[in-house]
Amino acid sequence: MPDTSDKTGGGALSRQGPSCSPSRRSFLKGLIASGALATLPCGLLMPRNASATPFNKTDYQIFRNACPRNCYDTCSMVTYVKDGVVKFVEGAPESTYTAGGLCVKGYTYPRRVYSPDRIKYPMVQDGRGSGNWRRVSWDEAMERIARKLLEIKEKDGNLLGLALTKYSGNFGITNYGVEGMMSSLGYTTRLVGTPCWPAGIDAQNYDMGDMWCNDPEDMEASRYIIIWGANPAWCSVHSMKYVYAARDRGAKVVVIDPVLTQTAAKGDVAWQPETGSDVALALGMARHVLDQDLVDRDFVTGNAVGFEEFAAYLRQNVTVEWAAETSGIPADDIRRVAEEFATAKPATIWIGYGMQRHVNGGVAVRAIDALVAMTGNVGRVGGGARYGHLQTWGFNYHAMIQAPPAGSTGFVGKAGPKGEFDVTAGAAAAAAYTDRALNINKTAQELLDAQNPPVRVLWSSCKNPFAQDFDRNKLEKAFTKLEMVVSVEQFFTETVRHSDIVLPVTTLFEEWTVNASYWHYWVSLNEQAIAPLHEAKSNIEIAALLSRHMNRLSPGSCTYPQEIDAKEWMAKEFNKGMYELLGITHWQDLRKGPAKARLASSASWSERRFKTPSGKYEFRSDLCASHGHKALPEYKEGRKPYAPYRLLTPHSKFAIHSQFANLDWMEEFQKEPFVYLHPALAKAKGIADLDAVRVFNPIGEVKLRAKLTATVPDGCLLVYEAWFRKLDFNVQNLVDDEPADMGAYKTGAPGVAIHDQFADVARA
Amino acid sequence: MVLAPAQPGMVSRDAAPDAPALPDSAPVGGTGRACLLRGLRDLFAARGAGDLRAASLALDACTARYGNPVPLLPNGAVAHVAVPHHKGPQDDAGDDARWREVEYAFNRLFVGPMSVPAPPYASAWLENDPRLMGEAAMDVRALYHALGYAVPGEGAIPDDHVSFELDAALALSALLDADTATGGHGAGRSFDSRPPSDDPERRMAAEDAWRWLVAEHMSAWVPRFVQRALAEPGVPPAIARGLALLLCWQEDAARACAPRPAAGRSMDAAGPASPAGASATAFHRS
Repeated sequence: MPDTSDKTGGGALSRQGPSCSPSRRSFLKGLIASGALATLPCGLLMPRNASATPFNKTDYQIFRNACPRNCYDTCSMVTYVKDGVVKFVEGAPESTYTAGGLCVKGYTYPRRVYSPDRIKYPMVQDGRGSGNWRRVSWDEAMERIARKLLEIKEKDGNLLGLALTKYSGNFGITNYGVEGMMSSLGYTTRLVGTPCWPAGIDAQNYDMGDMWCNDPEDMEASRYIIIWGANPAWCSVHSMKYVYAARDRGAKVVVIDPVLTQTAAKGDVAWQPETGSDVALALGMARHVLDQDLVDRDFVTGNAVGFEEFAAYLRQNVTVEWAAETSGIPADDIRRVAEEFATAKPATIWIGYGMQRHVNGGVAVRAIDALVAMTGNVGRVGGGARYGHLQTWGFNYHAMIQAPPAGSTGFVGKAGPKGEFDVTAGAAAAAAYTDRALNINKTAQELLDAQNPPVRVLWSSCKNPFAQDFDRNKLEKAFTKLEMVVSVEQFFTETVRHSDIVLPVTTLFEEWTVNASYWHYWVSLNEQAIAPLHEAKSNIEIAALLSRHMNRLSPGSCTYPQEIDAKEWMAKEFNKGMYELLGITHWQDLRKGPAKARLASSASWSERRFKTPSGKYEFRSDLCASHGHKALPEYKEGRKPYAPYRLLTPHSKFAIHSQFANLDWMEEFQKEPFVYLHPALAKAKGIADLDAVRVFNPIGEVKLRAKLTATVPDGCLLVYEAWFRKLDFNVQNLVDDEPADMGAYKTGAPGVAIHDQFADVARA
Repeated sequence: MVLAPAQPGMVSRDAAPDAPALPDSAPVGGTGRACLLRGLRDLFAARGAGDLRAASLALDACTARYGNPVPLLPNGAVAHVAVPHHKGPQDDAGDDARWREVEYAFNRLFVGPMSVPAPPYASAWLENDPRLMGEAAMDVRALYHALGYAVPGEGAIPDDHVSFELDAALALSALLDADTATGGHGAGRSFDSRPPSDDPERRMAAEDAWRWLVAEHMSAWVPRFVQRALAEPGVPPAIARGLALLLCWQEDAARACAPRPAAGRSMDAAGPASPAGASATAFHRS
């Protein structure tokens, strides 16, 4: 390469451009050839023995990974690594579900790992919220925490002053080691339940004895698909190919959503009912099916109990006209779709999580289940009331199941499940003490109210409470009661801002784990592809380190192993049952690609042996009645408005809750939050497109710009939840902690009525 | 010892001298350049208040001994920032608190945990979209490897942190100084006292590497890094001085980089690497 210029390095941006060094490779060679340079005064760099290897573009190391986010798709990934750096990621081609492609969020993963914003070191904040942060070593951080835990144990006589808030930020199975860490310290306080899907889980358990959906890949066989309160075109992109395939084969696709979503736009029929009127709509359809004598008599008599009571309830209390009036969907449309649904075989309803985030959400799911069941579509390939499943989650939970130290005392009282993934539920009954359960959906209030002892230390991992817990202003107040807040995080969220100590945690590429889906039936290995960047540690490594310090300061105070091999711990999650389910002989087989559960049928309940007390589908559930609900899926009114307009806060295409929106590639698409409102409402409020407005209600307010769109119904305000790294924006300023009707049975706490919220809007 | 810490950023406050003046026996290296590079390296690698104070004292010492190498700055304005001019009896606590504030500010600028305005990594400035572990990191990694070095925890710690690059500059600077001290003189290339036959190649390689590092690579990001950091409100003088010294050194070094004559050089003439240590004695500092 000739020397081309007299530049002395002024070409600021052009590394590839002309330079004063004609060939970097020549000097590299020259330096190596000159031999030992051992006397160089390097103080940071350390001697390296290997010589430089030649550059070879095709020479990638390939690893298996899995997207561990709280998402239907839980993609099986392939990661390409060069020079120890993740260069790019793809969907695994071996999974027919992921089918070689990721979503727009998944492709940003290299941006997450190598984001300059990542939290790099354990740090301590001198004065919570002060912004005065100091670097500390891992040992310093853990000693500080360990001393605090021993102090509160001494003071209270137990460790109930330590609370864990954790949810779905990383669903890798070994991350249940966080719960294990808590158990290994003693009996602690747990924020229990799920904000996501509990009302529907309970509903399906009352109706069928479990939440168990068909393989989504068999939607291709459906002749009629109703997508009810879900937006897979954004939130489950891999499922859409089955919807399209079904439609190619003649199926009709009906989308029911208050918002004209991208999915609705792709459907054949889009209904935009009144938000929260789903119970009435489903019951109205059921009434019409009954009237037209389109009921599957074999199923309702042979495989179900309580159908005649349900039918009697419909005849006495429900009319299509009433359903039309309540939902805003014309009666003729209800009749037509109900008839089409009942006569197409198989027909299926995809029950989204959004539609059960209501005070009547559990009943709504029960009513929709009933519609699917009475038309004979439960247990049928291409049919089913699809909600979710945990069939492929039969791991050992080795990291999670830890014994308390000898002599630990704790909470005395009734113990329920600690969330939907609590495999230890039931086992605790025999113990003299239990953990103390606080409702995760009322985190702020529970932290304020907890006494004897109060919550003194909060440990947050796989969760961003300030983004996800309700009534942000109340939460801020609750945090002032806490003596120490520890956040295990990758980015400087609002929760970290409210923490005393932050610990940097690994990304999926930096840890060993295994991932299952609550929707499809593939299980993916997650290999460590690169060294953890900076000083990040995985959750189980953090637990081991904490144990080391606890035991050093007070021998026997923590049972968690002090040395762990992360890969070995991943392997310990497998068992014979999982191997048989997946048709593999060893977890190493998953290095060849993800494995799918071997199912007797792609249809759940194909043998129609239900797990209910009666063993049958229960249109009438006495269990449900014993839990304080109605035995039948009877109409239940929605929440009364507490402000003039309905407020919806779903998640956007470019984020999952507070994850992803902070990455630069996502910012390209979504730089700022907007409130979306109908032009008619905007006109009434004197708001023009892109005006600065404030959205407010008794909980709080957010300031943002308005976008006018007819995709949002008149009288509705829509704000996508997200965490923007550069903006002070949080939808939880507007969402209170009103509970949903169901959820306590299977997840330990009722759900939350996220979409039964109201607000006003005005120009700012 | 004070100015050549063996560990990154481990200059402890206890080890730092109380006075800026260096003992005559201090191994400061051949030039003020080495002194400055060490001070800057340790400043930007600081883990906390103690490191920041020690590095700042070291930079004070450099400017005291070698003069202010920052002619662009108002004379003395930021030359000495580490030691208070009027040290009173109660100043120790105040001094600690002051360095603690410097630490907070340093972390807000460069470390986190919040998103920082001036990440001290080349890739954050040289990639089309800011990131770490980009091509710039691989470039300097190749340079370190060629020197027989690597960052500790390669793969985990981005190679292109400014402190590692300054460490590499220090290494190359020492190579060039060694040649100069034993008869070589810049582009004059007098190698008469150099015993191994591949010396001219090594000399040229070191010069090229230096040019590439300071005039090409660092030129492409250090000015923007410094200016971005200095644009933040309330940058403490100790950090502002370090940033200014860094920029002035880098610009001076780049400016001093004469274009290299294209002729008379075999690009790939280097033979196989000699065994470690074989020629080490030849390059001892005088």
